[in-house]
Amino acid sequence: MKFMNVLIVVAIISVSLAGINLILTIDKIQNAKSITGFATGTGTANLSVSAAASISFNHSLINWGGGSVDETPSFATLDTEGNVVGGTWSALTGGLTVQNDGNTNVTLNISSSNDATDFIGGSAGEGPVYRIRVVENKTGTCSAGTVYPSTYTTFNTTPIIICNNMSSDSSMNLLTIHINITVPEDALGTKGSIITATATAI
Amino acid sequence: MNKEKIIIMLLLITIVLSVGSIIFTMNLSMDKDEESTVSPFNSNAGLIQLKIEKTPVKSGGAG
Repeated sequence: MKFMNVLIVVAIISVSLAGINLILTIDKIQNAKSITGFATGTGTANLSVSAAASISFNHSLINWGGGSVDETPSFATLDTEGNVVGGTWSALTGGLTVQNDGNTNVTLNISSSNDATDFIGGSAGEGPVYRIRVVENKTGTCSAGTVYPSTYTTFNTTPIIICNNMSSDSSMNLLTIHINITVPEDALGTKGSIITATATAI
Repeated sequence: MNKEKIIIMLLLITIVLSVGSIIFTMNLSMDKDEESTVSPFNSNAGLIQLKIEKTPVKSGGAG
């Protein structure tokens, strides 16, 4: 009988310990739920969305194709606003467009892979010219409309900030970069320039 | 109910509770937070191209 009583006591202790273990485990898991966002029917899911700077060129290629400078004057001027003066290239309407497709406002700067001399070459007339101007494709894209440069300005490999605060709001997150180049009559060959835009999250 | 049966029952309950505790803990172990590293920088590029051909020489005739 004595042995049986000891066994019963041991068994009761075992059951108690197992029960305590189970209660402690459940308690810990309940605490973990509130930290990790583990969701149940009545729980609360916590979600943290990180700010992500992301831009893309909606219109990334400007290609005037082949053409030549007229006999006079000694240069041709082309832009992306539908103008070709003194040359035979096809007129293009619409510059490069950059969209802020991230979830945070950004500071946007751009630079070119080359300057006018390296891009176009030649020296006739006033020599080659490579200029850009920036406009809001969607009003309000750049905070207070402070795009730079708003008029055609020489562009080269030096990065310039074209918008200090570019919105990520889908209704106003698009800028257009218009290009204006002057081609001297003594420039020849296939020419190219890469414009790199870099966004920094604000 | 005699004592032997009580002991067996209690020990079975112990085993069941222990196993249940283990399974419960394993199934509800915390998911690790997935921390995504998002660069605050992003860049992209556009391209400008044209081909410059030689200006055709026009020959003029006497009127």
